[in-house]
Formats: sequence, structure tokens, C-alpha cells
Amino acid sequence: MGIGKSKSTTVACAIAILWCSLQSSDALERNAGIWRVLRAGHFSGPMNDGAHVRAIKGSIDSQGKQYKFWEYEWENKKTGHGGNALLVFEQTRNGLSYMGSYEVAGDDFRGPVHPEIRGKTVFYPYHDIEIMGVKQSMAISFENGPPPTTVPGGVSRFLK
Amino acid sequence: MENLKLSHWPDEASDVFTGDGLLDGLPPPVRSSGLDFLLGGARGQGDALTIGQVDPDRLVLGRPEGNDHSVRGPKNPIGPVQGYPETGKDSWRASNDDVIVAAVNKYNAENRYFPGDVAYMTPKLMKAWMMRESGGSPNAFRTDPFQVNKPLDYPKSDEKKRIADLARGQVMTPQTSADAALKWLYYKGHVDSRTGRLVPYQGHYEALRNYNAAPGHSDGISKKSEYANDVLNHAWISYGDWQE
Repeated sequence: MGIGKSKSTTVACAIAILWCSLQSSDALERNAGIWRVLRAGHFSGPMNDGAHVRAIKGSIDSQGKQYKFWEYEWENKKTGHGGNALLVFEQTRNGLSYMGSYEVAGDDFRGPVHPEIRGKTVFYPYHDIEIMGVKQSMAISFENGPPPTTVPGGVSRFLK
Repeated sequence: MENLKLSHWPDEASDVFTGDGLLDGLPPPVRSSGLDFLLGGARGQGDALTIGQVDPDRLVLGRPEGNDHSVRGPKNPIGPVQGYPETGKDSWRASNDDVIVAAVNKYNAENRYFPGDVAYMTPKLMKAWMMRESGGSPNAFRTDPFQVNKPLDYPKSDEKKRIADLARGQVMTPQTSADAALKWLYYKGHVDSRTGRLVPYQGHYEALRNYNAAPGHSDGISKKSEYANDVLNHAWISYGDWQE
């Protein structure tokens, strides 16, 4: 009986530890590096273990400001839903400052698509497909700073 | 019929009415089979009763109402989605069928969609979609079966409030979930996810991809494509032409 009781106590402890570790992994929040900048800039997207970022090489100088960009993706592991975004930062003497983001697809029919800087635009090299005469590549122009939407008349807006 | 009659209730005949129990003092009940009770043909029980009638002269033991754990079937059953059984302990998976049928009818009527329209929805497709979202979770099934309003999925913009009339953290029911999911799917089907432009409805496949929007790839296919494929394939293998 004593052994049985000990075993059941051990099993209960193991379950409790497992439960606690699952809870803590759910609640894992990213705080270091670029995540600290995002938090300081009141970025409203998830910043837990389902979120990932990747720096985009280069920068855009426009109207006396220097903009830097990061890719962002997140997946809610409970629902399987997620999304991609382009994060926009301003480079100042004190470091990076988060300005806002656009929701933008991070892949096409062939696989992941990573944006690149071309002149004063952030260009998404989607593998060209043509639908009714329109090429499905996309470039966000920062000629006049961050535009209110990714493309004129679009629904993907510049948001915190 | 004779071979369907039970001579006694085997589970109660020998152990309940032996005295010293809660039923002491009550006259022993007259036992008959369920068929006898309905048909009224056995042992002079009088006129047959119709379903729902109660014979006050006869005491037939049954489960008290409060202990009835059976799930009432839907009025408009859609049928099971392959891989998601609905019998026995899994009968909860049929519990939102009426909600789906009502939501689909409302959506099609409000948008004036008819079979053949690209955005026309059917209960069969919607049920396959719901199973992908919450077919493994009875709790999600009772609250937000389409997982349309989870806090971490809530967009930064006011889109969900404006389009699906959902507030962040709003208490969800299967009805609000189904109605909002259809509105959100419809909207997502109108957005070119690469350019962010509003375009004509791109079909349920693209709408489902955008509804899920999971980043990344698995086994050479994007997760959101796998999601859309899975929903549509389950609809086809479960119901055949789900558009009917």
C-alpha cells in the first residue's frame, strides 16, 4: 500500500509539474532585443512563443528620416490561426523606434516570400501570376513616409 | 413482435425490489416492455398511448428528468463529417447542426445567394469547416466553434467589430460564432492577401486560406492551404457534392 501511495503521489507531482510547464510555455512572452522595442512602441500583436521576426536588409531614407523594416509572423498554437506583417521602424540616434505595421501575406503558391528593399519601396517578390492583366507583385512605397495603406485603396492599413 | 418483448427488466428485477431500499412502501411497478407501453397491446393495458402521452394509472420506472444525459438530436441533422463520429459519447458533435443550418440560411438569404453562386454556403461545408476548427473540443463547440473570436487572433484594426460585429473578449455562443464566422469568411474572401486590395469574392478556398492565415509551411504546402484543402476535402468525402 505504501508503495502504491508513493507511486500515486509521484504521478500526481509529475502531472502537476507538466501542467505548470505547459502553462508557463503558453504564457512565454518575448521581451529582449527587438521585442523590447516593439513593447516600447506599443505594438499590439502577439509577442509570445508563436511570434517570430526577421530583419530585412537595408533601409529607406525618406523626408529626412531613415526607416528600417522587419518581417513578423505569428501563429496562435491553440487555434492554428495566424498572420504575417511588415514592421516599420525609424532609426534614430538613440536606436530603433517602432512606428507601425501592415498585414501582408508572407507567401505565395510556391512558398515563403521575403520582402526586400528596392529604392524607396519595400518589394514583395511574389512569383508573378497574372489575373485579368494585373501582375500580383506588390510594393509599398515609402517615398512620402509610411503610406496609410499598403496600396492606394487597399484595406491593409498602417496600424500600431 | 413476440420476440421483441422482454420478459423482465434484467437490470432491475433482482436487485432493486428486495426491500430495505429507497423504494420501500411503494407498490411494485407493473413491468412491460417499451413496445408494450407504446402499443398498449399486452396484458390488457388499454388503448395505445401516443408518444408524449402519460398514463396516470400506471407507474413505469424510468430515469428522472434531471439524470437524463442523452443529447437530443438536431431538428435538421447534417450528418457526420468523416473522421468526426457523432454516436454515443461523441454525439455532442451533432449539437450545433441546427445552429449551422440557421446561420447558413440567414447568410444566403441576406446576401441573396443561390446554388451556383460562388459565395453560396451550404450546411455541409460549414459543418466540415467547424470540425476542423473545434471538432476535437466539446468546450470550444459550446462556446466559439469557429474560433472566430479568440483574443490572440483579434486583429489590431477595428475590422472584426466593423465586419463581424465582434468585440474583443466578447462571450461567444455557437450562434454568434457561426454568424460572425460567415461574415468574416465572406470579408476574407474579398481581400487579396498579397496586395491588400478588395477584389471580387475569390471562392471558398481562398476565403478559407485567408480566414486561417497561419504562416509557414509544412510538408511543402503552406499551412493555410493545408487548412483550406482539409476543410473542402472533408466536405467532399463526407457528403459528396456539398454544394447541393
